[in-house]
Amino acid sequence: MKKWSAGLALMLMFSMVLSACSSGSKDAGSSKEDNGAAASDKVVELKFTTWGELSADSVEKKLADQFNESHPNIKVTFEPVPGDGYATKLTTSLAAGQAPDVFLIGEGDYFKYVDKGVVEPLDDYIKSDSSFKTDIFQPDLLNMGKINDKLYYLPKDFNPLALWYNKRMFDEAKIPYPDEKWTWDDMISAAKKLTKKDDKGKVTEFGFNATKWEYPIYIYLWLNGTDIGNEDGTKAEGYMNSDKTVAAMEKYVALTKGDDRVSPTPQDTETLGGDSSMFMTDKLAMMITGRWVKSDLDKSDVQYGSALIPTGEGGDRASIIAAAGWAMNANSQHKKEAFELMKWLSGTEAQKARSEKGQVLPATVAELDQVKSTEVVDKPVIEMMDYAKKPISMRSANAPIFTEEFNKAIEKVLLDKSTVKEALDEAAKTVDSKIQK
Amino acid sequence: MRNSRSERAGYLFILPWFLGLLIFTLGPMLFSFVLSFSKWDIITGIGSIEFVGLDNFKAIFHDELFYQSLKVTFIFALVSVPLYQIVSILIALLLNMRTRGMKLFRLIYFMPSVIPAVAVSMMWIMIFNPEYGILNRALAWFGIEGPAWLQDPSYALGALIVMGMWGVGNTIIIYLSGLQGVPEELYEAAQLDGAGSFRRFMSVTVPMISPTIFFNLIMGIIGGFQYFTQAFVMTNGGPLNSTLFYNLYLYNKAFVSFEMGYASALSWILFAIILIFTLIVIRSSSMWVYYNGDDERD
Repeated sequence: MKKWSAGLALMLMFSMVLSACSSGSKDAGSSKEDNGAAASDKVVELKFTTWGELSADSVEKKLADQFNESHPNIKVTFEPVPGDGYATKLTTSLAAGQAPDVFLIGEGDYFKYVDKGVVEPLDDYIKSDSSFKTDIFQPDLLNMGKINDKLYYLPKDFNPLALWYNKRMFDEAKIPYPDEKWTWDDMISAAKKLTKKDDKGKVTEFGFNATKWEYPIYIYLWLNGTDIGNEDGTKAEGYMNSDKTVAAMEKYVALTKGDDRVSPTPQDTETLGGDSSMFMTDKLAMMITGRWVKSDLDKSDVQYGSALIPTGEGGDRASIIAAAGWAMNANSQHKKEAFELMKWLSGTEAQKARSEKGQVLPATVAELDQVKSTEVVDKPVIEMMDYAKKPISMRSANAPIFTEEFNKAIEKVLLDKSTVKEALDEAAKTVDSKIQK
Repeated sequence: MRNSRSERAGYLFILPWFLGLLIFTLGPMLFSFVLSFSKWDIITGIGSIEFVGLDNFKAIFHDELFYQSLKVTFIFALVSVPLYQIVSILIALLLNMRTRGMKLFRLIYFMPSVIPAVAVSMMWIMIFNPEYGILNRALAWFGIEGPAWLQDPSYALGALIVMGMWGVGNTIIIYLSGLQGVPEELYEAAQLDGAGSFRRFMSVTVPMISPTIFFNLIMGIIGGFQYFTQAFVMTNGGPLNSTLFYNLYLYNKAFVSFEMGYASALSWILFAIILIFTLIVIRSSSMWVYYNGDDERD
């Protein structure tokens, strides 16, 4: 008797779940139709989102207000997502069909979203809009937004990676600052002079940070004429474990090991509070990183400069541009209005407003020229953008497989669990077998 | 008449809870069960769910990381569950004594479990810091050079187990209430029979609080297998996957690589594992759990 009633209750519950689901979706459908019908004569509501930017007086918030004033038929709401939650929030809201009409994507995730078909190509909108020309943007940044000759974003801002150095530590060691003639080897020999030990032989000040972050490693590999994968990101064998890569990574890992090491291990960096805080407290003399580090550095009294990333043996130079751009939700109900908003958010006015705050470099040619004429510290940083190449994350949707296995291999090597050759051979094999699936 | 009206009122009262269970627990559970037989990257919406039969489960049984995460979780559960129970009982015994200021001690031992896990984790990251951390500094006084706790694959899991002892306040409180329910006359009788304090503990206290042990053991097993937050915040599974807990792996599959079907399959395997262990404990309970006043029924 009891079992019967329990079973009945269970069936009841499931049927209620199912009916709840179906009625729920019906509701959602009808409300969308309402919106669509209202669009023609009423105010269109749009949402856009970015990571960070949570303060009430943020530039994006102000830009949204200004847009609302000049567009009485559109009402824009700015909904930023704090911290690390951005990708998760955006992905789940895309799944639920609740995603904002316009969202920011970074260069690293860009290919993934386009590959999934959730980003609207912009070429038709641009063609049919004579008032808007994309030649106001840096050509490099526009190229970054193109996949298969279609443009998927409008640039917001960018951060080329450059070499940042601690002037006080250079002065103390009586070494001239890095210049454009430096090769990678010059940098390492300078790092050796800048590294200091205490009586017990423990390193107290490091010359350079050989980070585990992929971007500087990619740049370093490019300088050595190699990469972790082929151009379209379909093969690791012969790239990730090529003789060139193995030799280069052996040298790179050696920077953090042994008695004459010049760099903290990733573990040291973590326990010492991260590379930028080591840099600010005169424990690190040089690091390769993006310009976003500046806002932190400016809060401390560290004296710093930026320089071109040194060339490889063959005189080659390379960098990566970390960039963010506005993308349109392919499922947006109001694409025409969304494009209006994107034009505004990436346009001249917006670029000016952001660059006046000094946090980011403007993506437009005219505004960047303005910055070039006044900025001293940033000059090499801006120059680095001429040498930018696309990392694997901007070439292939397989990139996460490559980076995961590559990072794992390097971690093994750093913890002395494997040699560089063995670890990279294994990683290349794993990547290729995963891609084939 | 009155009876059925009050019955209806009763159902009305539990309705909000019941709806919550239905919408936020049973519904998603059913959905994840269906998903576990499918492939879904969630970005492209519900329409892109693709049914693949048992493929997820087949793949899982060939997945190296699945076995690694099982290993980590089992080691953690096997060590931490008994350890935390013993520590909790010992502390509860101390807190059950009649001394001045006992309320203060109870407060002190309970307090850590009120602090959110993330805040606790941040604090322990600092404690475990090999350079500046208080733990290694204290070890240095004795001439011991402490390891890099969280960055060394051979220590990280142990460090998390040690850290967990700090947060057993809830378990202590439950044991304490269990201890206070033990009738004083049993101790007096045992004492008259000449039982020493250890004998009294083993023959009076342990049987009398065995229902409490039973409850805490089951909660401990469930908690142990579902361990997540601290590993997520402090090590993120590293170094070299030495702290890749099952739930963390599941989370990574679901919300980092967005393989929802695979993650759902993982979660149902975890469900089965927890169910089996809980059943073992429940089945074995008739042998060691003593309920006061149960004798006549047996």
